[in-house]
Amino acid sequence: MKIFDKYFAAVSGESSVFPLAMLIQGLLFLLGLWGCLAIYNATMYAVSPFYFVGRQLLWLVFGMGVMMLCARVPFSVYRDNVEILTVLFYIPLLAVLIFGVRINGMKGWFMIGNIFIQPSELAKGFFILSLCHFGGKFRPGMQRFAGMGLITLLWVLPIALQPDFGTALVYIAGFIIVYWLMNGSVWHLLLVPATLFSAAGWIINFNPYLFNRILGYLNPELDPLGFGWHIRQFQFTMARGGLWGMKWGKALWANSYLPLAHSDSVFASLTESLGFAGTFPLILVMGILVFAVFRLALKSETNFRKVFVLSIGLIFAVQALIHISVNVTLMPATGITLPVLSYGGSSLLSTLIAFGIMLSAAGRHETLSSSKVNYNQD
Amino acid sequence: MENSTDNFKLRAVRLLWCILIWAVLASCWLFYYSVFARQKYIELGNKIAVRQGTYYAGRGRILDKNDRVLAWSEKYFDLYLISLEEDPNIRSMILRKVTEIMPEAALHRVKDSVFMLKREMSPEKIIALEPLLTKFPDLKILSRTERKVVDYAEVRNYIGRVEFKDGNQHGVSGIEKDYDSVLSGIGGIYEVMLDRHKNWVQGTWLLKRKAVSGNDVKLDVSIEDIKRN
Repeated sequence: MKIFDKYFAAVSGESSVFPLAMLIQGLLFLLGLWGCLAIYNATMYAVSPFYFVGRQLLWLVFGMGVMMLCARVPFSVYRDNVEILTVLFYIPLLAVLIFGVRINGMKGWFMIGNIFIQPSELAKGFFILSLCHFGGKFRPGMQRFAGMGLITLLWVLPIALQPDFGTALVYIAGFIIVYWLMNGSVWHLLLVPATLFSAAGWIINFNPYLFNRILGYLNPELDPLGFGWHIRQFQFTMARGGLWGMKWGKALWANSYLPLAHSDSVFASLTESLGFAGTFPLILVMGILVFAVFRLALKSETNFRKVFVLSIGLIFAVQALIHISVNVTLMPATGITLPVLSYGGSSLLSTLIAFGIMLSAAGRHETLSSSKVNYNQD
Repeated sequence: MENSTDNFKLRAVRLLWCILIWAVLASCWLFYYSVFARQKYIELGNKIAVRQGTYYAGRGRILDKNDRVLAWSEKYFDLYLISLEEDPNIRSMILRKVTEIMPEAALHRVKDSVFMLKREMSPEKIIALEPLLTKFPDLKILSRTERKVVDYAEVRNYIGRVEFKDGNQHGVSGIEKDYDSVLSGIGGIYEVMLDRHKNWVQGTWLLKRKAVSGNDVKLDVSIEDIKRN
């Protein structure tokens, strides 16, 4: 027990943060295990049913270790080297456009041996960190909005070129969250949807498949075997789940019809097995996790840390909600994973790294005066 | 500091409210599809996936007066490659994998995109092929039932011919026609879920009506009598 006490003391730096840090890590591990079960459930009729779940379990154990390691590193190390970290995680976003491999129509992965690494996933936490850091250097108001908007654009552009619009959407949500928490104006933020709609119109003009995807979402009956196929399969999969679910391992529809049942459609495949009664608690657990992060943010020392801590929790929530909304057909299909639960090493690792840095930021290793950026001035 | 913390808390709470409303909305949608409108979407899904089929009811045998079997039915399993894929390299690759299990397999074009790889497979080979069938949905094992008659021309003429209709064998000439109602059974009806490649989904086969096999017919002549006449 002393080892754990020492560990959490190192993570939290103060006893009041300790239960929250423990709760967050426990919930993340629980969600990871839940994800492993979901992945097995969605791939159990495959030729090698343990292939995906085995890999995911290894990534989970490795990721938990990396998260603990990241949490032990003093936050000043991240903050003082934010420029280097930004460049380090930004360059792969450009490099993947040239050296990456194309999977499901997106050139967003590096292939090293039989491991696929998605740099846009790994960079998420560092994008938030850079946004918090550089955002504090701009004068509050329009200058900050424009500056942070420009930084976001630089990060989003290579991701949109892959094209991975789902992840790009999460980055934009990250910008909105950070800007808002840094005393941003709601009037400035109204420019974001306006810009997004204009950009979407322009992008759709060059990508007719996107238009068809939206059309398929609005009316799946128009082309049930084509553009409406994915939406229809989500609906049928959830319907089969009912209130109590088919039963564990009986995700027949998910295994037979649902595209990417172990990654982009994992929530729907879980619904087929566990039903509403089994998947609604998942939303609740995620809610508890986000609330714990909110409490942790309030306990953080500086505004810089507060903003960073909460932004990590909220970007996790936004990605989870985009995934769930796509799966319950509240949104058109974007192709995004359910953080920690969906299959994918990069996705899992990136979330756990981000939470590790977040726990480090919530800890109290350094004094207030050592902080270079302080939003208290705002 | 106090003001700044309060301001942060206020903004954070507003964001959390947005997240909460979004989560409630998503939960409502989830409830709608999984509980409220469940039946409607299950029926729509079943239209795509669930198929009803009939399965062959064993046709009775024809015996001579000394209980020697003159005509009987046998079931065979053949391996097909039904592929819309035009690339011959893919076909060759699949064939290579199959020949690792059955060296005698070869591609014989039956129709445009239908190739027979092996006729009359043994049960051991069918089991050995199972991983390949899952990996390559274009590979299919199709069953066929053949009516066999002892190998004498006179007997064959006397017994007559059968034809397949509605999943069952029906006599069209000779004894097969005369005693068709006795020999024919009643085909069974099953329901099964098909995957997007139109393969059966494991564990979904459901019997709707049990097949009733046909009865044997015993003739009052011997095989020698038939050959003499």
